[in-house]
Amino acid sequence: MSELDWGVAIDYLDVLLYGVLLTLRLSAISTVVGLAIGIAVGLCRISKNPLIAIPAAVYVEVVRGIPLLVLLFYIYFGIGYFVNMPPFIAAVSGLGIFSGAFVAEIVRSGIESISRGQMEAARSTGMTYLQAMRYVILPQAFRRILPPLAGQFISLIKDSSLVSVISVVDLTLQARNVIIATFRSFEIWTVTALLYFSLTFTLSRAVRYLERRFKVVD
Amino acid sequence: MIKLERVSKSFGHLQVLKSVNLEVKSGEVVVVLGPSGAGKSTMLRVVNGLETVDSGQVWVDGVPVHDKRTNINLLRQKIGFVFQHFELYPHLTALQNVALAPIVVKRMKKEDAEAKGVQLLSALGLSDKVGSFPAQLSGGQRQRVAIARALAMDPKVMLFDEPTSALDPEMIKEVLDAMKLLAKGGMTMIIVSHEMGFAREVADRVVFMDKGMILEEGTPEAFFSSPTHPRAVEFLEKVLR
Repeated sequence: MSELDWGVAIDYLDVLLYGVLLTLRLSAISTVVGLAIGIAVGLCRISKNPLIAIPAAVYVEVVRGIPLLVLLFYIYFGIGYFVNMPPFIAAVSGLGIFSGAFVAEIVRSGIESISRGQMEAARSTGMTYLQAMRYVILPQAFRRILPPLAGQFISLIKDSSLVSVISVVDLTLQARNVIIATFRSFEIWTVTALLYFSLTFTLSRAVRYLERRFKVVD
Repeated sequence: MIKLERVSKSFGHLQVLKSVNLEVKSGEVVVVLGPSGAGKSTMLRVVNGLETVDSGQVWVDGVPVHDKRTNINLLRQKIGFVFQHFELYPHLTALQNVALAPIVVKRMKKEDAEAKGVQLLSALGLSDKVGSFPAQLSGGQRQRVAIARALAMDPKVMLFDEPTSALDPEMIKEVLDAMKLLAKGGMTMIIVSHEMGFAREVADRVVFMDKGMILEEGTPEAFFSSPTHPRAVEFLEKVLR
């Protein structure tokens, strides 16, 4: 067995960090897309109008039932067969649609956890349903769902490694490229794992801070 | 100012309001008494449309509440509502609780709404609690903030749904005093309450409800000294011991 050569990881650190940057950018944009879809679909899920609630429920069930890898292939190769589909756009769509389904369920449960009296109190002062949602219900719900939401977005960073199979040059694909050039799998995968961990751990600490900052005693 | 005409309402098989008629004149203070399950809270909640009606109509300031063409959000600005469990917004300070609706609904400037909020909170003896969150306040203080929140919209009527039932005994007085102040100021009020002393002292009229019907109404003197309906007699015997 050959000696370990950690120098390789240092030599190629810039290549790996390029991948980190792309993974970060991809995760950040997908998080925003997923959050937007999740809030919209989550609100639709609690609608009393079945024409709104049922399509939202179908979206959640269908997307949660498909592996992310298949969803990415479906968008990149399937839909890409009909329209021009750059890998990055396919990756953002896939991750956004995927995490949107999970965020929708988190948002729905968060809203439902706020007592009915809060909505009634807001409505009794003349607020519309949407005003009451925006100023009274959602701010409270968000404080409550911050921990599960953080878990969801940590998953998203990790899941984003799958986009390497549709030739998005993220951290995982860069790691594979470096290994092809150096044959140093143990060292490079170790460093890659540490880089992913540093991303997710930073996010998890940041959310912890937010949680304490916005704590509501009730 | 408020008029209920043959209002009926059921929850499933249980009929909670049976053709209720009630009229409240401008400036009048009406206290609604009766055993629990009598339909008192439901009657109050149909007045500002928190509950729908199965039949009948309610008018507030001449506007039919349960009419599809009525803008209920506009009408509710005229109707302050105080809940048994306060329902303050826990993520906002006392002042923000009071100023929110004027800012959002009436598009009042933030400074103006807050100036008004401070004024209202001070009038209710809460000038040092402006920046406190609901969790930092006692029950009596919370309910006074809730009253200030309702008053911030300059309502023409105020509805109170058992405003002191969730309070410790020593906090009841401060809330009742705030309500007395309002009554003296000429506010039109309907109050669902179990506070007999308050009803006797402040009410212009007492309404007794049981099993979804108004069984008796009259001045507090007449009602407390010589109730006529057997169930009212029975109720008073129980609560006055």
